Amino acid sequence: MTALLSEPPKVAPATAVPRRPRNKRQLLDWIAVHSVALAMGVIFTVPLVFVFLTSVMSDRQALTSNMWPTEWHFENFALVFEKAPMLTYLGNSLLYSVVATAGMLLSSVPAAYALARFRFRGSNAAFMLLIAAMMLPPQVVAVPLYSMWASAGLTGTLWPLIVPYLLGDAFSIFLLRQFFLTIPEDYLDAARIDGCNEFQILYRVLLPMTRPGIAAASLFTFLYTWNDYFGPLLYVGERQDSWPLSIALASFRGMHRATQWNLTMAATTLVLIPVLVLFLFAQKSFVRGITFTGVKG
Amino acid sequence: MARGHRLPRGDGRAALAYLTPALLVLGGLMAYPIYQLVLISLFDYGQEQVSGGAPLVFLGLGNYTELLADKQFWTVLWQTVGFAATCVVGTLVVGAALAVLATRVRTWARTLLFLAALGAWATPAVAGSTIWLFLFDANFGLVNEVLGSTGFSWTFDRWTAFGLVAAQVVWCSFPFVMVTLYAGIKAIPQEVVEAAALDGASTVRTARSVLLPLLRPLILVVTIQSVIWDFKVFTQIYVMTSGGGIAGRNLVLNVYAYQQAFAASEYGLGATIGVVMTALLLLITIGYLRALRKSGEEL
Repeated sequence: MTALLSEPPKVAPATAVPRRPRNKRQLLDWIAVHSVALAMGVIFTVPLVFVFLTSVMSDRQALTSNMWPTEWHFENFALVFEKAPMLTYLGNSLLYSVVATAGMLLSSVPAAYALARFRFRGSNAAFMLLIAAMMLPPQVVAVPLYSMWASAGLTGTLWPLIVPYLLGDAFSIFLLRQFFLTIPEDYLDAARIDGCNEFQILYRVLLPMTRPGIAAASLFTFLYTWNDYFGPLLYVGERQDSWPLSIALASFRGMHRATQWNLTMAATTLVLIPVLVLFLFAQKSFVRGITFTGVKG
Repeated sequence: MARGHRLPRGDGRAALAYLTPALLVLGGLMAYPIYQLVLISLFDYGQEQVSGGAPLVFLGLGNYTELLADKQFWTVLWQTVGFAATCVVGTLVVGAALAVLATRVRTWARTLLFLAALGAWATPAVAGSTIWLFLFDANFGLVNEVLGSTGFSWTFDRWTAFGLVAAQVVWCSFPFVMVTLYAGIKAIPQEVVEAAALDGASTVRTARSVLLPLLRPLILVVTIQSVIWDFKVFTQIYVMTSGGGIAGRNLVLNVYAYQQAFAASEYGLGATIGVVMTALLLLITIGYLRALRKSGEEL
């Protein structure tokens, strides 16, 4: 392998974290930008705060429009675990989301690369197929798909939802393809001149350069599968021990005659937490941007 | 389409190896359902036919002519287009603005923005819609309290109801645009920007002539995805306007299809609306891609 690949030079991301302001104008600028960010952050968080506030209300208060809890019932969170086998659901959700996300990366990255950088007959058709696949409403194709999976004996499990990710997910392929297109062709040419084959270019040059994009695609797939309600309802709706959290969440609404909004929101909070934690971990790949690029100058 | 114009021959075979699994699953999982969907749309397929109480009647294009002759369908169609367009523009503007903002602030502010965005996004649609209804409640909602407009019903009037739902849709879909564009900006190599600066380009000039073209592929994907999502909004309309508003005046196509198919047990007609919706989406997207290509953009 060439020196280029064994010792990738460091390159800072295009928009390094801004320094602290030095003069008055910069200070005003700094304050303005940060106040907007703060205001936006707060406004967009308001609905979430109410999800949380509702989750610690008493049964009775949750049905009123008084938004500030008169009593704080933190035991609602424990109650959620008592009312339903949340750990089983959590395990099912993790199975679905983690395997699907990992499978998506393995299957969709090469496909996206082929669509972004190879020219071949039928590439236009493949691209259109991709876009068409994104458009079909899941409700529309549900019945025929169900009968297909039933004949494979996989209904009652989450595998009908996971297997497609192992082969390629239309939206992720499209997204990754577009990320790959943002990298100027010169970088790949330079690697090619250095004797890389296409596979090496993908894994040693393109992937490290589009790491934020990979992180974004993974986050999207994880979130989508984590919140997917319609798919699991169709395939494991009857099999309570295979339920993911999204179904369990909805069942809190229907468990009693009147919806227990406090417990529903407590469960919602519990479902949200793993996603936010995941983001805090994934954040590094966004913030650090590129640490390795293949070429310099 | 693809940019690999300097690649050696034999590309086709390599591409096939990379693409085959995906093409298999996409083709396989699409072709049969579409065939079924189109088939059902050609029959008078209702509750009686499902239970075997009545024979299937082949209508040919009967469902389609019935749908196209229905005045309500056209109203719903235009409403859907207007509603989706509003949501798409709102989502793109808010998402892009916040993505740029996020690149300009310090870590704590950025983390706050991202957590707010992801929280909004990760909130299940039903819970999110319900909370918004609480916040905009006519008598007790926080928003009316702050605005001093207690008693004003946001969901009664057709247009404020649409506006409220659109705001909720933007709230839960801008994070996709924000995260994607932010990741795109972060992936731009520094030396590209430096080179522009060395050539004497101003910040604005650099943004317009260097960064924007590099981000184009991502703007394309977020636009198309937003169009697809917002055209198919279901939960928000269903929950926030109680199934399409008074006398169905807040209906959009997806809810309309659902009501025809399940509430009225007209599966054939529901499938017809599904076919029409998918065809419309394809037309819009192909039109958009064509327009881009005509303006000289590589896709």
